[in-house]
Amino acid sequence: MIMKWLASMILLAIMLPLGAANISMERIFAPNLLKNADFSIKNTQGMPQHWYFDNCSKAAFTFRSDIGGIVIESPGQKYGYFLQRVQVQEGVRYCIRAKIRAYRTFANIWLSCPEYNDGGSPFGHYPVSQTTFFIRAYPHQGRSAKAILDKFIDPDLVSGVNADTWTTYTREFTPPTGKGIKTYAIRCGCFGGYKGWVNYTDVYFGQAASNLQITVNTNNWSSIVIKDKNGQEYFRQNKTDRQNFTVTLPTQSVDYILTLTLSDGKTENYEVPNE
Amino acid sequence: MNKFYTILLLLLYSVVLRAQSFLTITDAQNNKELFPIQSVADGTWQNGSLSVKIEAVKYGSLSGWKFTFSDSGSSHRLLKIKFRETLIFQASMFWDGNTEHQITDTPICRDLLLETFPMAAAYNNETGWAVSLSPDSELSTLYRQYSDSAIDLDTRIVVDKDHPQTITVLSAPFTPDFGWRNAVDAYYRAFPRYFSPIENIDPRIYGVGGDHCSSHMTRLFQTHSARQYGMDWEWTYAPWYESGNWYAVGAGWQGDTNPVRRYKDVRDTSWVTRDIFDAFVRDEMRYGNINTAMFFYILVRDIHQNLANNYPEAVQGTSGLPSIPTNRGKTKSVFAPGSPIFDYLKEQLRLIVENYEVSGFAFDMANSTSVFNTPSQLAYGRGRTFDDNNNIYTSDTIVPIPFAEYIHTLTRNGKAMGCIFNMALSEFSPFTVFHADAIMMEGSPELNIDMVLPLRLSAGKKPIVFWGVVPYTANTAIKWYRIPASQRAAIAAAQAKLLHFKCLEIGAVPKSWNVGAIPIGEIEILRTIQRAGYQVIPAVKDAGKFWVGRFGEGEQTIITISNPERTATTATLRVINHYLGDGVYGFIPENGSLEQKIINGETIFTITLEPHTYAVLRAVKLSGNPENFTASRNGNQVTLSGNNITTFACRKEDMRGFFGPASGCFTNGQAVLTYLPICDFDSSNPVLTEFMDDTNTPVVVAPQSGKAYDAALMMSVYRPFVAASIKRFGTLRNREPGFMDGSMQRLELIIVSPDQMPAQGKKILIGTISNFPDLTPGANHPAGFVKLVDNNTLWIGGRNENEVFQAAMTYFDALDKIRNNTDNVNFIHPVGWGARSENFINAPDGGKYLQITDGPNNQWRYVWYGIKDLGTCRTLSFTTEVKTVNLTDGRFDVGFYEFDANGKTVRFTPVQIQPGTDWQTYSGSITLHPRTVSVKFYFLGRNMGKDNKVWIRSLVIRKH
Repeated sequence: MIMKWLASMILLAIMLPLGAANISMERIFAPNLLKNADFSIKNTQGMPQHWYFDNCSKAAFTFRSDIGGIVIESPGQKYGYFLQRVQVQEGVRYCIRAKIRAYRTFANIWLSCPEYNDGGSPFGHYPVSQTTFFIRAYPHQGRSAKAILDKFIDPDLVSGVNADTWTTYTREFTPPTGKGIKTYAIRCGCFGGYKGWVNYTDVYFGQAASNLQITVNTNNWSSIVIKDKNGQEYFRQNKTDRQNFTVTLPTQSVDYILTLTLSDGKTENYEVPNE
Repeated sequence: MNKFYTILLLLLYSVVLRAQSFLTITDAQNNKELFPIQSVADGTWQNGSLSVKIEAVKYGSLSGWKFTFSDSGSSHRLLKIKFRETLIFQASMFWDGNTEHQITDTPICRDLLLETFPMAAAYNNETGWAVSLSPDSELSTLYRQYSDSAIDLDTRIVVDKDHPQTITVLSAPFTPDFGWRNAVDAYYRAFPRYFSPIENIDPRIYGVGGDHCSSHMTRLFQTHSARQYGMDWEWTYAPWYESGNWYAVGAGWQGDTNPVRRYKDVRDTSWVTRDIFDAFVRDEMRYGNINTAMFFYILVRDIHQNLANNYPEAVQGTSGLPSIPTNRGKTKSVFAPGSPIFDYLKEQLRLIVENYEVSGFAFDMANSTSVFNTPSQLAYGRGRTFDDNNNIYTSDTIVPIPFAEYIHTLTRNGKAMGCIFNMALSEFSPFTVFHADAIMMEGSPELNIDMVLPLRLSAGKKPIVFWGVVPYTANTAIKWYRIPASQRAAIAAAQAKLLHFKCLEIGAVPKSWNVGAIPIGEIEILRTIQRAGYQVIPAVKDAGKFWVGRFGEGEQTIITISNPERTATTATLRVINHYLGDGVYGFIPENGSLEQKIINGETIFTITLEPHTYAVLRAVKLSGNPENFTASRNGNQVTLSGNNITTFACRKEDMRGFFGPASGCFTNGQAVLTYLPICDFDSSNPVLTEFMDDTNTPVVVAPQSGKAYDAALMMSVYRPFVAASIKRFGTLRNREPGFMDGSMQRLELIIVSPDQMPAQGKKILIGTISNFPDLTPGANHPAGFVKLVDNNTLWIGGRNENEVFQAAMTYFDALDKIRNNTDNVNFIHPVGWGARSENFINAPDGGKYLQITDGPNNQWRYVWYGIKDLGTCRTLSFTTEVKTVNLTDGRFDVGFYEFDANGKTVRFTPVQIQPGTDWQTYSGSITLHPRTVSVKFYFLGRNMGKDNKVWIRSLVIRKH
């Protein structure tokens, strides 16, 4: 654990320049189209306002909020979801994102478009559906899975839902054009599994594109470049008289790195905020 | 305390002082404790209509009690059973059948029967105690706990006057040299029949499972696809039109015609008559059986309503599990045992075995996903339990068990019928696994890593196959949305590596679709360790970060060591010899040298493995009193050396398709073992393989039945298979015969029996030495021989049919290799060219010519063809036919352009074309430059004159 902490600190030291930062950033996401995204506001029945519970299995689910967000307790091998509908525009790229915890019960975010089904795979197989799909979080693909996958795959690419810490799941998609699409139903709930619970909070549904406001806090710079971790470039600005820039980032599905090159040729890397 | 005396004390305690075992029985309907049996002992206890008979039992080293609960009353008795064993030592560890816990805070409990071995064990460094349920204890619930120095097992059972219930609890000490594993090992020895496939089962069950993805029109093509992908058994997905009426052409046949899937091609569904349907299934099993054991697919709890509705006592609503689209919405959830429908279904199975060439049955969804509360489960009376509201039910995973028991009574041609159970990705019951002969996990270990070890423990020595194909996008722990398409192949390769290492550790194989992602050369190692049999005790100490597996016994032992780390790892391992068997053991590496010391019954060696690499060690039993031992492999020679050694004994076959002596003597402290290919065949001799090149049409001479005839069929269809495969996929290797053009499947070579052997012309003999008694056979190798009898006669033979068949497969593999290394470049459907479509013009013979013509400005004109898959090839040659239609100016060259890793030119090796009016053949070869990573073949015109033209009508590239 100490080694892990040390490694994190070293990484942080590499990523962040010492002293006052030469870059300030604020990332502005599109408005969340979901209401009561953290399930904190309750109606008179004590259920989350603006959400409807779709009890597919007609099972004896129970609900609580004592550990944050909404907890759905499942008797096991049952299916049920909190549902909310949002208005969308065809051809616009959207992002759905949520924090999930789960214990034994399988968590699933289920998106569906009542007006049109493109016939693609809801499970991510080719061709991937843009109108009906699942974002699944299985506890049996949690901590143990991460521990073993980390030996073979870049650990940054592996998470794994568990009962103790929030894990963020994200997916982007684009409603097809010319199909009369107006709404998507967003369901957050249980997808079978053992007796246990799933826990959701901070569910975000909005346009995928976001704005990044950048302020350069030094005059001694020569360029700013934003790339993702795979090296794809999204923004490049050579030195001008301006110190403030607004960049539109097209997706929330990648981690962006801003590289500031100073006049003396030294570079500083900054992680672009992703929430 | 001295370990010996501790164990002695515990044994005494287990035999004499059983006062520490408690049994508590509670009537769930009134929550009344019926009788606490404070000291479990032989006898019968009575409380009203309920009686409990207790009998002491002993299985191997395990002792315990058989509890028989019976009730003479008229209603069901719902009983909560608690067995408690108090321990007389301080345990520091508790294993709950799935997970090992340090005992700090208690209680430690596991409330799942599923994904868990039916045992709980507590132990410290010297002493252990395990409580377990016997394999025949079919339960639907189990709760286990450690607290207050006691192990508890709790379950709920239902008893009625017709169905007494029996639970056998074993409670015994063990020596925890390897923790809980020693207790599981004792359990295996107590109940061996539950941990190996049934006797006389088709041995191919130990190999790679898969799907043919074939059709009625490509049955013979699929034999070569299966061979190329090393497929050993097939699960024959849904070969019926109506679930439950599995013997489709039997009593349940509906109307005139019914739909049969994959008829004309893999996507086709045709409506056919009863006779055609019968022929379809008969051919599927007959031709599939040529090189894959056919396990007839069934899903026993999903039955079509046409059948199920006749048995309402067995039906529990609509099933969501239709196997085929035409059954969607028409199937019912059925608990067949306890209903007359069970007899109907058993008869279906019997007819299938009687009429089709099957090796058994493949059960889909044998895990637990729901519960049954039908009258039939009440009547069946095995595995019943109840919920907190006292509703009686039986887990759905109980259903396959009586089917398996029936199937195990069936035979076909002396072969016992086997059962492969798909345990999906979660919720398997060990009691169901105990009744299978092989297990399928429906994905890679990473998809439920916590289930993998309990599954292997429950299966014992039975084969396990990991289904699916990389990349496993169903793994929700991987952030797929952050992985660009360009990195998917790298993720797939990493997943394949993980899968491979887990197979090496626990003894399992991948599905055929992952053969390739795991190199086919590695697959035989996995088959071999599965056949050798999993050993729960690794017998290896101090393995550190390595993953270690042990398989087989005595000198047949194999140890696998994998390094899953990202860094090179070194460890000094100690192998505790007595776990392997009597005597002293050394180990032979597959490559390099391994120095070993033998001290106090331990073989000690240091091994370093690079990141993500592995080693396989074969045991060698050494007589004498050795202290030092070294085994070195150099090519096909293994040298054993050491002091005080007189003789050795080891596996005859190595892991790479070679065989050597199984025993021998040391001379002057050394023994040299020479290894030969298991098939006596010099595949590098072109004379042997030219019999099947495109210029020869040999007659195939073979007996008219049996495996030699099957090999003859494969020979006769080999070249049509090659042509169809290249036409559809552009490559010889494919795993989807159903996508190929079925009209191309034909027996192009005449097959005659040995007594009709032609005197003249090329012929390939396929058969045993008794089929061709007048000929001198090849050498006696385990996989037969391929021998040139004379310039016109090739013999693929062996001492028995199996050897003949293996020799034929080796011969086909060699043919594949030659053809994969020869690229007859396609001008009709050009792929891989740097050329425009207008470069390919219609030729007078109906084919296509490549035409290069000058433009207006005397520029350079060129087209190129990219050489595919250089692999390990270091020499390339070409042959091309060129005609200069009008070449008056400049120069025209052909030749190989070599490029480095950055795509920069390494060199061009041109051959100049001479002007002429006739077709001319040019050829040449190059040895690749060390920096070369890719090569293109160029046709290059420089400063050709106006209207100058060059035609090319063929190009053949050969890799050497």
